[in-house]
Amino acid sequence: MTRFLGFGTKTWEISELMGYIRQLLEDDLALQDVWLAGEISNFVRSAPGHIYFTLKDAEAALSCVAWRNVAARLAWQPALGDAAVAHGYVSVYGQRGTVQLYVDQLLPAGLGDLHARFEQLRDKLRAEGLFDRERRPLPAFPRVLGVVTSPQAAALQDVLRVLQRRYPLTRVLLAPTMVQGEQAPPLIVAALQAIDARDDVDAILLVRGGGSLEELWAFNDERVARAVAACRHPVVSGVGHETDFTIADFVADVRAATPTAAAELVTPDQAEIRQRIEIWQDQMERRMQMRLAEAGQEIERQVHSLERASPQARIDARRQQADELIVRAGRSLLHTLKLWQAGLAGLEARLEVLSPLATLERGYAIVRHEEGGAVVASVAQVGPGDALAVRVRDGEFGAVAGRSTKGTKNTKRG
Amino acid sequence: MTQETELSFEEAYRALEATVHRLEEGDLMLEEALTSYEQGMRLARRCQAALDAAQLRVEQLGQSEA
Repeated sequence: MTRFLGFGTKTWEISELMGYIRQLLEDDLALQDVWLAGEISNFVRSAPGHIYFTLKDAEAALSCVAWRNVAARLAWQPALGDAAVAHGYVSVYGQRGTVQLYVDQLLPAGLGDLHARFEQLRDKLRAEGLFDRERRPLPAFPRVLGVVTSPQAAALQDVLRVLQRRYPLTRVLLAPTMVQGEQAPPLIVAALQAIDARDDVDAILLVRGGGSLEELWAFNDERVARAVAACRHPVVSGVGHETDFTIADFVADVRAATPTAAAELVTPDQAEIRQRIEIWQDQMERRMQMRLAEAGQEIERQVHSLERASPQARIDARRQQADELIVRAGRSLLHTLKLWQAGLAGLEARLEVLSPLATLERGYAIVRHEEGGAVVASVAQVGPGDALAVRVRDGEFGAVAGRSTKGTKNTKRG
Repeated sequence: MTQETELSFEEAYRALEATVHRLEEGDLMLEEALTSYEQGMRLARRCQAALDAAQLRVEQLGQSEA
């Protein structure tokens, strides 16, 4: 390899070069998320609380720094010679020209390994979209709840106590399993599958009480995570305490902080139900009373208007009117009839008197010209020799006019 | 509506809820309102009785060993 100083090649300032290197390192994503295992050496805690140490193995060493805020929340007190796992990002410390790991987590080796595996699996499953699948809704009134846990564990007792208090109408199907240890994951998977195979299950609780990271480790198993995701029924996870997150929590339809919380999330509270029902009873009672009062008023109104307006009432009224009229009419009609009868009799009598036939009865005659039939009522109408027809009571005879003398009263009617 | 005696707790509760709403809307004839009221009261008593009598049942599946 040839080395030469080329013309035009830039001469760097040291700080400039350090800046350039820092930029290179910080742009490399792999170097921003590093788990590093080694033995702790040169461990120093500074006055402000920062921790400086070196992680080394047989062949290499790297300076590490944990700032005060990180150092303050370390549960573990690392010491010289401890096997440790640190997580952080790689950059350079310009003043001393050293590459450093800027630590945000520092764990004893075994745990550190678990953490690394946890994050690896989490990232892998997240990339697969297992955490983004659609969450199934929890039942409002579960009839059957599957519980996957250890039958001996306090977690089960916690769950049962909550269910008995909140919603004892539910039926619990316990799928017993180990919840920690090497054999636990396949047993948890089998229990989940056995419960999920049933059609009558409304939701599944996957629970375990609090414990160390190692004790909870079965819930960070990939097989368990995939079994949870594969369930047909909604799964509520409640593993450990509030601060414990497991992979199962990420996959579950609902993550509850604890087993107790899981049981609460999946049931309605009968105290609330009872209160609600009482409110409804009062409501119905009040509404019905109002409705009846309205109906009572309505009936009264109806009765009044019926009394005024119904056909029956009208008919009754008319009948009474009619009765009165009939009584009155009876009296007046009789009177009128009598009057009429009397009147008729009088008229008849008068007609009798006026009838020409009656006059003929009395011996009078009606004289008419034979020709034309005109009644002869005056001597002026008759000349000597006129042919006349004379009508008497029982017939008619012909006559011939002779002399005539004016002034005789006898011919007045004819 | 299905036979009241066959209702699950949830169905009875929902039916009660619906009955209360029907009554509240207030446009029922008196006859219908009375029927709804009686039905609602029956459902309420049914739900309460179910809760009073409830005892958590726990069964264990045999398929996996602890």
